[in-house]
Amino acid sequence: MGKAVYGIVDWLMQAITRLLTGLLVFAVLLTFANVVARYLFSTSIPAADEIEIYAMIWMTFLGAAVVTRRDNHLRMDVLLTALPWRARYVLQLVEQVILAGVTGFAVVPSARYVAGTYALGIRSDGGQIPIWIPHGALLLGLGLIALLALLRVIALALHPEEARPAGVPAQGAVA
Amino acid sequence: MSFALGVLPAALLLLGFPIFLVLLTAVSVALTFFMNVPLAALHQNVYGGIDAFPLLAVPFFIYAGELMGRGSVAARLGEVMQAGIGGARGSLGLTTVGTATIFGAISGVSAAAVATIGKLMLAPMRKGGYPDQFSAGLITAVGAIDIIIPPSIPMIVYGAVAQESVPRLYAAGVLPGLLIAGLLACYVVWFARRHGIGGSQPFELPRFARALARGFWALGAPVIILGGIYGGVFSPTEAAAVACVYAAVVTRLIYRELSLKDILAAAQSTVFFTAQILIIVACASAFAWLLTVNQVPSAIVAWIQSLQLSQISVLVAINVLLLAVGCVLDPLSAILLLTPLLVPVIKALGVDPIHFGIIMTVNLAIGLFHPPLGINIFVAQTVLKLPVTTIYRGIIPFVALYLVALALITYVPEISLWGVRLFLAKS
Repeated sequence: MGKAVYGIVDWLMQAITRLLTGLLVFAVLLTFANVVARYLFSTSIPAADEIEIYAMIWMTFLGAAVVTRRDNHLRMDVLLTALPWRARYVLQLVEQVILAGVTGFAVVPSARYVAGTYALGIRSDGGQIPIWIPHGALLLGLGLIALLALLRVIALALHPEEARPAGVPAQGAVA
Repeated sequence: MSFALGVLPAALLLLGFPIFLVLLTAVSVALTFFMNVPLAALHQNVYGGIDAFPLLAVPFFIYAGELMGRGSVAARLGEVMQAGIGGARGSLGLTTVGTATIFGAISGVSAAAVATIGKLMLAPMRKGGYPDQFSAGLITAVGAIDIIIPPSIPMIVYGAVAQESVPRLYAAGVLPGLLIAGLLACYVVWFARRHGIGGSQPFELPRFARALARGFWALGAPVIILGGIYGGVFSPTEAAAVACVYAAVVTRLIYRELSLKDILAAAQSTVFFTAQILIIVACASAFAWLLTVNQVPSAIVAWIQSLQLSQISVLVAINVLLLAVGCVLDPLSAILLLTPLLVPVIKALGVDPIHFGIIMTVNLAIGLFHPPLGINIFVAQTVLKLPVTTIYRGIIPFVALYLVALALITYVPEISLWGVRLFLAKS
């Protein structure tokens, strides 16, 4: 059961990663094309800036869900790695409960906001893009993070040995 | 309210919770229990934090650096440096400093520079007679130049939070970056003389010309990025996108090193980095809004003014705070957490916020390799396969050199602001 659920989750995360990778490449090419259009044809691609920003917003919030699944968020883990196993386990459990609770809480106003903009048919100034699309990224991202945290709580409660080992700092974007 | 704004985030941060969660929790608790504001403010402020065109430069510059780092760009830059420096005493150490400085003008990611330069330079330096301790210290420390020399990811984030111009910050970062590189170079030469370490092959014009030809396209990247920005051709975001396309073309079509799959793999890891950074930017924006509406920055300014401290003593205190924070927190998170609090203070004291952006970046750059927890130490340990104690011992003189540079940069604003006037005279 657990394996099947995580199989679906990982399939979903992979699909999201592919989508976001495509969005990044698209945003780069669109920005480049806009520069070329400006200098070679004295024109610019309508709403290019808006579309690129929306791509980044999707990358951020949906990407954050993927990073949550990979347990790779930036954190200050000096104290955490120095703690004994049991304390680390309890802290991780508490962290995931708070993560599920806070992101679940934030989903509510987010859902209202997105539903409101959808109902009112609000569109962006430049490209007339329905603004529920970029705002929906926040709703979807937070919702996925809440769901992933909930699954992690269940996994940690049932299998304490899955707690993150000591000395495993979040890798990545430290500039 | 002080619970939601101070005690709770500090406790969660110390307990090692993800930084975005620390900020989101603080905002959620404040809105629910201490403020009479519609909850829609949460959504609007988190979303609004990254709804900004300049922030697009973050993923773009990371992507350009990823592409350049995966090919032989750094190796080719190293060859040009080595051939140019020739047989001068300490030439291999100087090549390390020079390559890191030029690589810094392509990539704004410090850990990538340490990994790339480390793989490239440790073996030749060992062969050239440099003790591992010195080489490890130098390689670990030079990476920090990459976030001071533009393009710099922390400067983009500082610019977004402090609402300052990124091109001005970039212009201000050039001379401080070169100052640090110069100090490191002087130390390398002194060390080589003291330990009787000679140079490598003497300068030969044909060899230099060959290296220059091999590294021509690699050298083109910083010219396009910095020339584009300061020449008024591109905005930093556009320069970053052009750099991505340039990097893809050079590594795929000219050097024929990366496949399409590699280019997409670089994009994928960029997406992860971007999400790690920008989710914090989004939540920090909501937290900064919370601080502002509760007048926390102005209360801090009033408190500091009541102490009647001089500008210099406040800057000393801020430097100590930033160095301490930089030892335990990555630069981007530190900038996001502290900028909304510190910028009003330094503005009230008459410090230029562009100059302060450089002070902050240099402080946090030191944190990247400061023992015991600087992330670059662990990157170097992985790449160089040396005991961490060797790296710790090797780093100490370089920490001291960076502190000298920090003091100069802090108390001589012209080192930063001269670059703004030089590169952006028309604006």
